Amino acid sequence: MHLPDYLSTLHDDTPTRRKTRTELLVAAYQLIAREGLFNSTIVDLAKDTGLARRTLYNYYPSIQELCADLHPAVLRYWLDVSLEGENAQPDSPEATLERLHQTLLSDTELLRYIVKMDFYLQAHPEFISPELQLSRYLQQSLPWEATLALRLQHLPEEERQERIHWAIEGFLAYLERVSFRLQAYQREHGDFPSAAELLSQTLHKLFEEPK
Amino acid sequence: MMDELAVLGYQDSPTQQKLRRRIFAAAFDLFVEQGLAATTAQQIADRLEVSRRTLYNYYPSKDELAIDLQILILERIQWFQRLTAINSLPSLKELEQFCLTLLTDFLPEWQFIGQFDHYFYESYPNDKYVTYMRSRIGTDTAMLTDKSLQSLMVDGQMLLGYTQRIAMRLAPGETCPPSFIRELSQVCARLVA
Repeated sequence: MHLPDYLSTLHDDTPTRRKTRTELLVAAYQLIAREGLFNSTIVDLAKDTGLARRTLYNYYPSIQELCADLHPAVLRYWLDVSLEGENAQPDSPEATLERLHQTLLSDTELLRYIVKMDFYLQAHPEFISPELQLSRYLQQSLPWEATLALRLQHLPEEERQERIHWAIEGFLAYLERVSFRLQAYQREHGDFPSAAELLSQTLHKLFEEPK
Repeated sequence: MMDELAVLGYQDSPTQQKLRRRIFAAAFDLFVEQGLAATTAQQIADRLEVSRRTLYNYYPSKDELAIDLQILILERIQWFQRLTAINSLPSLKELEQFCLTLLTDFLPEWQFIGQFDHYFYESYPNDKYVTYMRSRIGTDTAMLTDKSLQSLMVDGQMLLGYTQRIAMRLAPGETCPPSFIRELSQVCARLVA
């Protein structure tokens, strides 16, 4: 499955409208990945798609309302691509986040979109459901129960949730400050250890029991 | 305070210096209150009670103002002096202390820096910021080739990112609650172990 597949079933459209809407949503996704939502408007989208602004307004009154459609679809796509398929299910909480990370390392556009969108949503929590804030979404949508089964099961529920929260926050911080910059760094300097290995080490420390 | 602006390299008269400082103060307050993206040059001029033209003479755009302000703030919180400490000490303790200080003593500055990083993300209006960073982190490249320090640097960057995310949870003017401080300390404890 590809991202457009997740975008084309959002509304009860005629075939023509569905095609245009999907184009719009994909273009918006690419625009946000490139420029971030702070710097993007319907006007930019019109330029990118070659459609008239009036046409765009037939679908979405503002870029924020477009994002209310786009964002949950992208999140669902990211999780599905990372966790489903022929690979066995991840066997530890770290492995779950590492899978998500691996998807982003192989899809720079998705990485940029995720990081930039999350930042925008933190600054403007009012325009999208709180459930879609990345931290909360990951806390609720990932198969923690299954992967935590053998780890930390002796801890009370509250502490388990706390550990998951730290790992998610650490993971997102890692995305923002390391993965995001690492690629730029690698382009310039060449060798640097794999971002994936380093994340794995850090996550392991966050889930481990203190000595 | 007198030499604070020296890093920016302007040849200001005393009157100009005074106005430039007021510009920074007003812009900083607005950027922290509303965000970098939402603040306009007109709003900055209005808060200063000067004309848009006067502001334009100092800064043709909000973006260039933000660049100067970022440099000033990094100097003000002694960003580089504090970070070079982890080059010589193979532990995250110094960085942990710095991160806690950012949340307690320099929270608005840290919130501004977060805004700056995301607003620009490597496409800056001029070379001033990159030049400044290069001159301040001249030894960074050497450090990165040392494999034993790479993991440390990455943990350090992640920790800074974590501290940044904590700062973003707070509204402008809100102080950092003890529970967030505790969270950061506990995460640090895991990473250092």
